[in-house]
Amino acid sequence: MSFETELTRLRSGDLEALTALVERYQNRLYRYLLRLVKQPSVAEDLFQQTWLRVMERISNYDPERNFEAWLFSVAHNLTIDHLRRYRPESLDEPLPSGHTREELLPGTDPSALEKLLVGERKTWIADAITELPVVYREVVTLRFEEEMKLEEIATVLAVPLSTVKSRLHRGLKGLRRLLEKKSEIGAQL
Amino acid sequence: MNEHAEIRELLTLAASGALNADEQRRVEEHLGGCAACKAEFDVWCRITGALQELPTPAAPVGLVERTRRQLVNQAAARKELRWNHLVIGCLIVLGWALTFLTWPVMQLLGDKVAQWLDIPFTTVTLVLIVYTSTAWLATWVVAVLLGRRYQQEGRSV
Repeated sequence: MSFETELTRLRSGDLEALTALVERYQNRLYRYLLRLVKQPSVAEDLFQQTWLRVMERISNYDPERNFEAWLFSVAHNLTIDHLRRYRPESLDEPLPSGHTREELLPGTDPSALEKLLVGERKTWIADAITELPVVYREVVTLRFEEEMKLEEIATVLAVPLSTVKSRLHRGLKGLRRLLEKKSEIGAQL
Repeated sequence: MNEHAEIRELLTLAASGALNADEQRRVEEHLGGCAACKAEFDVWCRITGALQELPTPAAPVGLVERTRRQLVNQAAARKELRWNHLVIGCLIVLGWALTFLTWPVMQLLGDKVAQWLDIPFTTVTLVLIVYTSTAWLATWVVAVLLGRRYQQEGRSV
């Protein structure tokens, strides 16, 4: 069944078409939610809520719009509501690692970082992403893992394109600083 | 901010493929003549490359099936809700129709009913008023109870 056919059937309330889409997007949507909330059980719960919300609102979906952007915007809104309710996070708040946001400015010596990137230590990168503030973490994961265009990310987040660029820039700088810290620690071990 | 510093600020977005054509051209021209910025750009490219190659965590086994069951349950609940709304709507229309029909019928047949039952006409009228009031009161109670039930269902879905 083609994607367009699935969408058409979904809009007419076909539950089988919705299940096919759940299967199609299961890994990507779960990964996105897991990157944001970090806890697998919460990501699972939000995953289910997202599809329930999709079923509720599918009649409002404009087929001219990008379905992926719409789907991820539904997930984004539910996740932000969850984070506000259970884990209010301020940009000025210290990170779990103990660093403040100001400390996430990039360093100047890339040598230790280059060693890290060359080595088999990609898990460090995945760990470092989880330490980024959620607003940066989200843009980084949408851009590089979901491979969305900046315009699509702006649609998902309902923010201007300039905000997406700014968050991407700051997110990458923060990530680099975290990686450099990790590579320094790794070098000392 | 000089040209060198401006380009440095664009390197993250350049490595992310997030610059417009003019900005990208400007960065590339600068990188052609600046080894320090080229080295910095290469580091950013390796970071963004590593991000693109991160393994995708697989969704837990059974998540799709659990989601499908929830969707089926919700679809059934919504269908029942729509059916209930339809039934209530029909009952309301029937109630109004009976109310409006009762009084003309009463005017036509009230005397005959009173004579047949051998009671005063005012008693028949009184019985009808009590009957109508009781029926409408019962309708309001049912409507309130149903409304509260729907609210609870809405929270649990």
